[in-house]
Amino acid sequence: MAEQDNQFAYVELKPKTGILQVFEQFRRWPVIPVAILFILVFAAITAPFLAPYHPVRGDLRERGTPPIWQEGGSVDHILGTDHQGRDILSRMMHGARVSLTFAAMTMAIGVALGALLGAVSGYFGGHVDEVIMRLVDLTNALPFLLAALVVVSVFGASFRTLLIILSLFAWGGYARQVRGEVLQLKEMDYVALAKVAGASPIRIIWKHLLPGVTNTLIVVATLGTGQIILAESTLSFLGVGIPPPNPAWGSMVADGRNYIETAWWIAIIPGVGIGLTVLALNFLGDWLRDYLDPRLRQI
Amino acid sequence: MRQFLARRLFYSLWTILLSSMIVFALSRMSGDPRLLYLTEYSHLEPERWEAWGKAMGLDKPLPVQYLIWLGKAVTGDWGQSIVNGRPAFEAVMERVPVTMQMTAGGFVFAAVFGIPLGIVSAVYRGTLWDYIGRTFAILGQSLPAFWLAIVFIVVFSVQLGWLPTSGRGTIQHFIMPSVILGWLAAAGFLRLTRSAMLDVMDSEFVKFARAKGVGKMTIVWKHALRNAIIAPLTFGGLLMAGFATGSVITETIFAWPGIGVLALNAVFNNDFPILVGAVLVFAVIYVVAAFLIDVLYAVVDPRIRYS
Repeated sequence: MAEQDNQFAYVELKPKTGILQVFEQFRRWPVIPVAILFILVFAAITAPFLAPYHPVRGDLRERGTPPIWQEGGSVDHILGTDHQGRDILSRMMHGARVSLTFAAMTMAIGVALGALLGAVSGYFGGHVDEVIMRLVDLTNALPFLLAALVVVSVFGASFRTLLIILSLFAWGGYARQVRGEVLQLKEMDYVALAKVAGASPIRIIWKHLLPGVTNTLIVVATLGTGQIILAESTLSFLGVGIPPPNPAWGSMVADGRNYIETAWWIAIIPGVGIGLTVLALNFLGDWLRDYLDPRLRQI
Repeated sequence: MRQFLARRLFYSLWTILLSSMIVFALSRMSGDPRLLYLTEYSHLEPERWEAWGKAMGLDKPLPVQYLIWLGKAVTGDWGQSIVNGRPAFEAVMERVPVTMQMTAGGFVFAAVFGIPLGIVSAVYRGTLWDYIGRTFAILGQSLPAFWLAIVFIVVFSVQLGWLPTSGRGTIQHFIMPSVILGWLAAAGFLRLTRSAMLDVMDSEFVKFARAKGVGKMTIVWKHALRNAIIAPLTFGGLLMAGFATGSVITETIFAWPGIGVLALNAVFNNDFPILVGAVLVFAVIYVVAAFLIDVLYAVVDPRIRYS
């Protein structure tokens, strides 16, 4: 048979070799984001032992040392030092500790609240649903920064205050997602059967509905953690976040603001840390969404 | 349509009312409001302390106090700044135009940059344009605005010397603040426009138009875009909340004397009347703006009007 006639012959895929194969694997698995997050968590955990310098006490003689690739940089301070002679790498490692702990705790509270209220809202419907959804609307419509400013001026900036404000703002999005999923799940036969068998609403939500939304929760929690890190660093940058002398990434950028003409790295380098972390979380979240639940891809 | 508008208006008013309640409750939690004006030693003069209490209505039940406070707030009596004794209403209102200018700049940038890039990204799906668009979208979501602002200043002001670092006056002063403020919104516009365009381009009536032999450009502009352009309007409320947050950051970095800086400084100075005024003005501006966007949405999209 002539080759042109055979339109439907399947195209034989050439096995990719060498560098292409590596690229293919990188496209398929989130290698880089996971590596970034792994390094970050490792740095955060080992900061007290591995960080070369003290995060708060600086050496004024060494102040304003540029990073190693700049002229005048030294091996002693790979990422340079700030205006008080504090080692930026050490501060960033300790900062990762603060920011990641904060983000993880906020996310845990937000997801727990969101999952619970979302499931209750979706399962019971009616007035309960209406009230919870209006609250969700409120968390969306109120600018979190303004609310945070008022709360901070009343209670003072502290780890706990921030934790409360940000988790109060974070749960809304999770609740809406969970509610949507539960609305579909509760129409399933097995839920009806559980009801007939006499299962209480609490049991149905806990045993039959929440396990069904785990995938959704993993995705929204990953994406949400990035947003929490952004929010926390914004507050810290403005001086109403995690109080000094704790080295938070946002306040490190703020410290460097006055020196951008002479020592750009003090402000820029910590921001790279924030950006990379959030990028990694966003990529990982997108990948998880496609991997765990292709239906969500449109959102 | 009327029902939709009534419903949206109700929610807008409700949001403003609720935020005023939250602000009021928080202001009462911060301690006895007399302490803003009197020192703690005023306890030693019970008559004076009581007289102030009476004058401020503190002897009445809380809900009544709230209504009195709300009545004063509506009529423009917001108390005086603790720092310099100026009426808070005046101090806040004179800064509204500055913030509005900046917000307008940010909005224009977001729309002019985000929507066309979203269209191009969808129409030329899988090409270089699409990659540029998607990269921009993910960077917009991930990079902190305050950091980006500093990078811009380092590159465009310090290194290249093209744009002024701060202040306002000429058109050059507008460029960086608008880009920074509109950055996140542009990424949002881009993603929404792109996914809406992809959806519409995949729909039956576009396939039919294509089968009929309508040109590609006509399909994109006349058939697809008119439907897809509605999507970016759907997140009006979200967009406006983002602008409120963004303007505090942008005004701080570029030294624009707007409400955002005022609110932030009020936090540092414990100037509660100013802070409350600034936050309420922000709430009103953005709720009204979000409402107007929703109205526009209903005007543009008949499906909303009749549902």
